[in-house]
Formats: sequence, structure tokens, C-alpha cells
Amino acid sequence: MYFAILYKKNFKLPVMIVFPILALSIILLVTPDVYYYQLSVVNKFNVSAILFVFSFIVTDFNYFTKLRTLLIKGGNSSYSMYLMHPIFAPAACVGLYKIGIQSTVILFTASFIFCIVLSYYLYLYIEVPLTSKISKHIYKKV
Amino acid sequence: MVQRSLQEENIQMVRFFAAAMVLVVHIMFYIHERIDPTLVVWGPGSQGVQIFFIISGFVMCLSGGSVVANLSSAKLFLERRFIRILPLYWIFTTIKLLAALVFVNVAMHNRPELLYTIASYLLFPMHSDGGGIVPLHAVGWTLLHEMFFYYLFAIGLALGRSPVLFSSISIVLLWVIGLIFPTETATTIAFGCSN
Repeated sequence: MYFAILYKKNFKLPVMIVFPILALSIILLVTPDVYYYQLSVVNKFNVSAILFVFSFIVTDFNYFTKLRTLLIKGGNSSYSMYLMHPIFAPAACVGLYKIGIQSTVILFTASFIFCIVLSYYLYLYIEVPLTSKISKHIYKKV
Repeated sequence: MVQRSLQEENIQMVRFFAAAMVLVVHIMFYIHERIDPTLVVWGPGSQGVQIFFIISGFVMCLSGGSVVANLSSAKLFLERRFIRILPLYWIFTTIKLLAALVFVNVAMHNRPELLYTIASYLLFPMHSDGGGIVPLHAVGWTLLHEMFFYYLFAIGLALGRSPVLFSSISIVLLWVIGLIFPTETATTIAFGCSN
């Protein structure tokens, strides 16, 4: 709720202030010790996740334009990615393993890229047309 | 084409990071479970789900703040949410169901019984074989929470109240009730279980 208020008021913080907050949130997010043991209260109240989202709301990260565009596309297809990966990721892992790829690093990387690319196409060719078709069908009657 | 602000684009980037974190954890888990048991799964990545929930709440607060609260806006709100959430979820649930029926030994963690399957399609909380409250397409557990939040939001709209305030107060109340009476009712399923 507070984030929405900040957003509506167009509240911004300078990047020099936001970067340390973002860095802290990433450290808290990715550190297993924080996740499992020592600072469990951080995890329980999602402090790290809250700080992470906050960092992106209160500043305009407008660097690395090409990477940014890719990440935004990835964000658009995140729902497709979330729903498709439990079906396609194990299939990709097992399929690659069966054709002789033994390295877990390669298996992981290939499956990861495969899921991201596939989810983008699922978003473009299934999610968007499907939801717009249903919307048109429903709201045509009104 | 709708012009997005930088911050809206930032939110999309955060969505990607959240989804990627979940993807990393699950791919590691699949490799651990099916190929290499020595691989250690990166547990903290599952916090991507929390990021999703925070973004979802943020977007709801943003969109709900300016809506006129009445019955028709509640109906419109739920319609839009259903259109956004359900069709794709149904497609993947169907694929999962078919996989569970056809490749019984390959598709793991599934119990395609009739009632459970119907509950899964309707995003109604129900116990799975493993004991947890997860639908047939297991990642849909987050959608159970989302839908519950949407219903509260819609009730707030229908009652002519601020949906943000109504849903916030309801969630806190249900959480407290869940702490006092820790039984697995629908409310505690949604908010008490994770404690």
C-alpha cells in the first residue's frame, strides 16, 4: 500500500541512495545463511523482497538499454514462464541428459535459456492472443 | 500502444527477476531429483515468489485506489482477473493432467483424482497426495493465494468500501484468527499455513 502511495506521488530517490539498498536486498535475498538460519526474521517478514521491489519503484534505472529491453520482455512473459517451466524444464533436463549431456552446469544453463525463450514465444503466440480474444468475446456482449 | 513509465518498466524487470529466481530453484531441484542427487538446490531462490506477491499487492493497490467501489466494478474486476489468470493456467493444468495420465512414471507428484482435479481447475484449496495444499499444477499454489486476495478485494468493492483497506484489514484479521485457531480452514490455508 505504501509503495502505491510513493508511486502515485512520483516519489524518487537518487540512484546513489538506492544502489546500497538494492545491494543489501540482493545480499539478503541470495545468501543461504540469511534464508535458512541467522536472520530468519528478515526472511519471515520478507524484508529483503520488500527492499528489492522498493529499489525499483523509487528510482529510474535507465542504463544498459538493450539489456533492459530484454529484461522487460522477460517480465512480460513471466506468467507464462512461471506456469510452463514445471512441465518443460524437467523435460528439457531429462531430454538433454538422455542425449548424452552429463554436465550439470550445461544441463542447468541450457534448460534455463530454453525455458526463457520458450516462455517468450508462449507469451507472444498463446497468452496475448488468447486473453485478448476472450476479452473481446466477453466485452462485445456488453 | 500504451506508453509505459520507467517505473512500470522497472516493475516488469522485477517480475522477470522473480520468475528467474523461481526457475533457477526449480531447474536445480529437477536435476537434483532426476539426474544428480549431489547437486545442492539453491533454497533462497524461492523468495522470488515473495517478490511476486509484493508486486501483485502493489499493482492491486495502485489500480484499486482510483476505482469507484460498487457491485459492477467488483464484477468487472473479477472478470478481468479471471481472464488474466485462468485461461493460461487451465491450459497448463490440462497439459499436466494429460502428462500425469499418459506418462504415469515420468510425471511426478501428481494424483489426478476427479474431485482434486476439479478443485485444481477452480483454484479451490485442497490437499494433494504429498499432504500440502497444492493444485495439480503445483506452482498454482501461489494462485490460490492470489485468488483469495482478489475475492477479498472484490468483496470490498461490492460493499462500497475501499478495496485496499478492506482487503488489508481482512487479511490481518484472518491471520490473527489463523494464529488463534490453527486449523486448516480456507482462511488458514491461505494465510496461516506458512507460519
